[in-house]
Amino acid sequence: MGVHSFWDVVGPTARPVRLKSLQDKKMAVDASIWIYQFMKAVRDQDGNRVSNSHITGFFRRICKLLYFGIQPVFVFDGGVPALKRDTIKQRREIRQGKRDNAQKTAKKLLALQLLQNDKTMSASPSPKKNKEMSFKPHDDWDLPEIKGFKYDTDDQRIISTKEFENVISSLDDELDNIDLDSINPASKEFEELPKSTQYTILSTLRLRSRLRMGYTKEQLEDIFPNSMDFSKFQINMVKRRNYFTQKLMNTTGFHDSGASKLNDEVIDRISGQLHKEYKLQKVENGWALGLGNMDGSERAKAVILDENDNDDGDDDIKFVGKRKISKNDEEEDEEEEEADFDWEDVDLKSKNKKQIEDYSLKAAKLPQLEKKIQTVGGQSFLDKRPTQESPAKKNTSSSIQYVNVNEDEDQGSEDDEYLQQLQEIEMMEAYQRSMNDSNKKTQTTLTEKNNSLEQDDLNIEQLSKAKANDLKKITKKLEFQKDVTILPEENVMNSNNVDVNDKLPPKPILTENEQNLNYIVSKIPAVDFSNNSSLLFQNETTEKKVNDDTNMKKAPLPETPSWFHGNSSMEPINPFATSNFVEDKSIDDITNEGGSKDHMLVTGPNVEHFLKRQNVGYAGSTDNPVPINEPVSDDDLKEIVPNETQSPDSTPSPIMSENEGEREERKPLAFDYDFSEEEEENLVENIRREEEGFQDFKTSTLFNNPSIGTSSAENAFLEDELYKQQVKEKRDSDEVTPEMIQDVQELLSRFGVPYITAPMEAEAQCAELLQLKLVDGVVTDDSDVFLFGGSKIYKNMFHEKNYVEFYDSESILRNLGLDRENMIELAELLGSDYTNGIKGMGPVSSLEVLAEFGNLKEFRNWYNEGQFDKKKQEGETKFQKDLRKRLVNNKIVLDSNFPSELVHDAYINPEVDHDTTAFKWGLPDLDLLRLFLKTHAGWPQEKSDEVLIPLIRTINNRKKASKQRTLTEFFPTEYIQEKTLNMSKRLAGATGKIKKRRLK
Amino acid sequence: MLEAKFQEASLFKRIIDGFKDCVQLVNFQCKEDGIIAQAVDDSRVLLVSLEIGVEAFQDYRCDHPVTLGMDLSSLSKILRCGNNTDTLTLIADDTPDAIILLFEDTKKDRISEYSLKLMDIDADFLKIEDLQYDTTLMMPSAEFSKTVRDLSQLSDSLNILVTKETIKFVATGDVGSGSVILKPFINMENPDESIKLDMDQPVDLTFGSKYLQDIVKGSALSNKIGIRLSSEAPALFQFDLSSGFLQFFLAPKFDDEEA
Repeated sequence: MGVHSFWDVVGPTARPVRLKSLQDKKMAVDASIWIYQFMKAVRDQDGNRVSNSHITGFFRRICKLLYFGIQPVFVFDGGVPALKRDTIKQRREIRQGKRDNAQKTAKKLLALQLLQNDKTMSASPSPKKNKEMSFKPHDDWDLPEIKGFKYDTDDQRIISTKEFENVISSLDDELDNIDLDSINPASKEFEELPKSTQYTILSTLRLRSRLRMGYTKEQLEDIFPNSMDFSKFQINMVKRRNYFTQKLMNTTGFHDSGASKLNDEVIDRISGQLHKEYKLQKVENGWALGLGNMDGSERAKAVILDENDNDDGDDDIKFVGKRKISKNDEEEDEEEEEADFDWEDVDLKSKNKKQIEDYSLKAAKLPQLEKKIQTVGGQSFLDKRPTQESPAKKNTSSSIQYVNVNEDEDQGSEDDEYLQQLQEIEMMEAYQRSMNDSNKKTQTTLTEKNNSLEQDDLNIEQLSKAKANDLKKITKKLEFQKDVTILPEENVMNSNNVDVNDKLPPKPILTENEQNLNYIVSKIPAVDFSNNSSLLFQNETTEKKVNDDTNMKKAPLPETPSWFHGNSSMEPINPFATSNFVEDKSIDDITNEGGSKDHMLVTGPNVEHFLKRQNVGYAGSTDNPVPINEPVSDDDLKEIVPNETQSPDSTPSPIMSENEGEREERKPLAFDYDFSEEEEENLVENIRREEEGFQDFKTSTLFNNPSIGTSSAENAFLEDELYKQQVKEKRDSDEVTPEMIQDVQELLSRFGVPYITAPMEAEAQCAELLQLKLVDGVVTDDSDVFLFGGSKIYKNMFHEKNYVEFYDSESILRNLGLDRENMIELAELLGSDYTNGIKGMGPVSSLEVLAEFGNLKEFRNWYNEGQFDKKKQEGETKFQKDLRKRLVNNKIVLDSNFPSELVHDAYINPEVDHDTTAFKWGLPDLDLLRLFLKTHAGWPQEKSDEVLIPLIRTINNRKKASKQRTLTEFFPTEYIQEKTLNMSKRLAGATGKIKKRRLK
Repeated sequence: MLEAKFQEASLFKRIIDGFKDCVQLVNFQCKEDGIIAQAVDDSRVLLVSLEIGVEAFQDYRCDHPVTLGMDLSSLSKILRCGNNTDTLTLIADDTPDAIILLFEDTKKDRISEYSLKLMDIDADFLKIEDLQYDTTLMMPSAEFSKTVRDLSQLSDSLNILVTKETIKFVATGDVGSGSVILKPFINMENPDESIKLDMDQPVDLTFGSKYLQDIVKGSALSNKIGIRLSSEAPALFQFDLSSGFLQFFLAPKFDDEEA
């Protein structure tokens, strides 16, 4: 950025100026760098970008400018001059390299941890077995299969989620996808990614979940006006974090990494509940965990989940429904494939089995490291789902299984009567409706039947799905593709599920037609996600309403809500799978740095959704679902709002003059900012990296020879280092997106601040605006502006509260003897955006060269002549000799292109807009700003008002008040003395010479 | 070589305190005939001009003119170290890096010596010509000080209206308004209490309260304040020393916002 270390040269001429004295001054603000600065500077503790940093940053700065009565004109970069492009190219390459590096580092991290993982793994098996043993007496059962089941579910779930998310994201927000990809585990990529990357993602996720998922306090307040909701949300977050942690631990091997262990845990943690017994049972198709004697194997032994009898009925039905679906699947599959699927979900299980086996084999053999890493990674990946489950969930999962058993029994008859029932559906529904008002028991049974009928409908869908699953099994190699293909069907399922959900609570109002309609609607290819989600919202909101009424009922059913959690994560086929999607999506969004708020908003409700769904089921009979609409619209609103706010973006603000509108059409250019400081930093970093490169080498050799191993302490140290590096690299690889610039410009227009997009460089345009007397000064940190003919530069405008550094070309000329030509020549020596400069030339030596030779042509002639003429060299002064030595050492060749006319011309005649139309300023629009900040930064109105209202008041007061005149209007100014600047002797000497030369 | 001895350190202290709040970096130019200083506040609204004549010192010697750039806040810190009744001697050589402040207790044999590093201060110098004023006003500094302080609470600008027989200070703010009307009178017993008004033309000027509040801090220097007003020039507020003065030039505000 700018001329390298040029600020050091002109630094001594800086004068502090009180910001208050800038009142009513028009300032061209070179804003192109700002976004970049915010992006670089504002980081969360993981080193990830904070998504709205540019908005809040700009907001603050605009407020400051306006507060001091400054009238700013923001200038954005429009394009890249050809000369600069090369430099940018180089910079970008550097950046790209960094991004790759970031991934490499992540891989290294994972590799390290997997190494540890291996060690722990080898130690782990025995305790696992013990656990198994302890459980065997209860029943004979097969652990591996359970694991498998869980993994597979996970896989599928994630796939569908990603699809869902993709569609959603393509629908409303494509924001920031560019950057996030590298950092962010969209689940699809997550699967595709190398395990090492997965690890990184996991750790990020986990940390993130601790950070209120990137919400600000205000955002949270906004989302959860009710503190109860918030605490629920928090609970969910805790669960989630737990999930991430366990997953992570699995990956890293802190945990017992063996797959079997998961199952053990499940068993271990089936916590006893008063009056309840759990029993593991073999059923037709697998194993089920049930409640004691009341195993549901017979009607007589129907499981009583709760004492609330009629609620119970519903409950059972629901479970049954789910079970039935899965079971149907299985049956179909079995018929077709004759594969023995012990568990509910055929497809899942088969996959599991294979993977588990593979894993164990590999683990046992301890093959080459790379492979091992992969398998371990894969395993951990699979593992995470089961481990995620908290004890509570496990508890619930047991209930699921129990239900399943129960269902199996019931299902038998139901399946037999499948066709019959189908035919009878309508009758039944009618019957049910009439019965709704009558006694509860009948009602429950009816609803049960009704539900089962519904499920039968679903089963049809299931069949197709199951077939898809079969396909999957056949083409195991192409897992991802398959999953994708399966998706649509799943989606159909989901929509159906939603449908079911709606119907589960017996609704007296719901007519047969409506039901059919629902069904049809749900059958519409499930790509229609919005439909789905809105249904979900409805459910959820109803639940909210109902919640209060049903609090009492809720209490005795602690396990059911959590069951939904567990279920949702484990059983993709269950009617609540849709909620999965929503939830997943929200998780993903959270992990997405750019994740739009609206989706995140869903998370909170989602939690409730899960927690309360059950209640709705019960309350449904008494509560009318109609009042849902209001809350739903609320949710919708949140989604819609951003779109609305974006639309004004495109229309130029009324404040702009016409030609500004014209200018606006230029597309602001986003990618080309860089700092000389940063480059310096890079240098330092490069050196550091060289050192670390050595360490990398060490570690990589270690990996190749795992037998050698490293001490864990060493590893920890290394990890730390790597992590830091990762953070840094992440920072450096981020780029400014055009969307960010649009956001900012929208913000500006709402503040009534004019902005223009320069044809090329913003700082050149700023200088031009000053020369056109459209502004009184330039706010920039880019030293190029002097070379473009700028003066009255205000630097570091936002560093201090009341002062700003003021530079002015007159004082530079007077004190340093440098005019614009000199400065351009300096740039050719020092290097700038347009030229690489001469190696080894610092600010002082460059000034000395100018002082010695007057201009660069002389310098070049001297150098070239001297090189070929030894005699001339002898007559040189000491300075010249030293200089020549240095240049020769750096292998400098000065050809006839030096000094470059191109560079000179680029600075003297930059491509700028010469329009002289004056700028106009408007007043901040409070309402628009509130809205903008709410949607883009998540600020509640109070927070915006905190700043905006005093600001606007100040502005209004200032308008009323009379303007202060200054003494300079009355007294002529004279400098009291030639200031003796704080310069080094060499610098002072050089500038003295330059000044003398000028006098001649 | 500069050697300037104040009989009482408190004088210099009061002088510095009189304007240290509105300007921070000041070049003191020491010449044979005394010390002068000029400084403009950062907003270039208020100019402080100080002149300490030779008579104000007990001893004064300055062989070569020297410029002493000082940070007033640092200087006042050092000045606070001396007792009011101490004598204070400022010592600097011809090309000084620092100034030495020597406090000598007149009663005890207590001598304290401080040195203050000097600064290169890049300061504009405003040429102050003899200005034509429409109105000259002389009033007790305490009276002016109280008026300014009272009215400043109401508004950030203070209007001064001088007509033939009255001097009116008006402040109109959000919470309310206030005005103080003074009339010239002569107190024979205590001439310092008199208010003298010499008016050629009526004036109506508005000043920033904040600047006026800075100005009245000079009240400690003198019992009287001389105020010269003109619609065409900055107002002059002057506190006289036994030899020399402390002047404040204050640019008025525009009243014609709409114009």
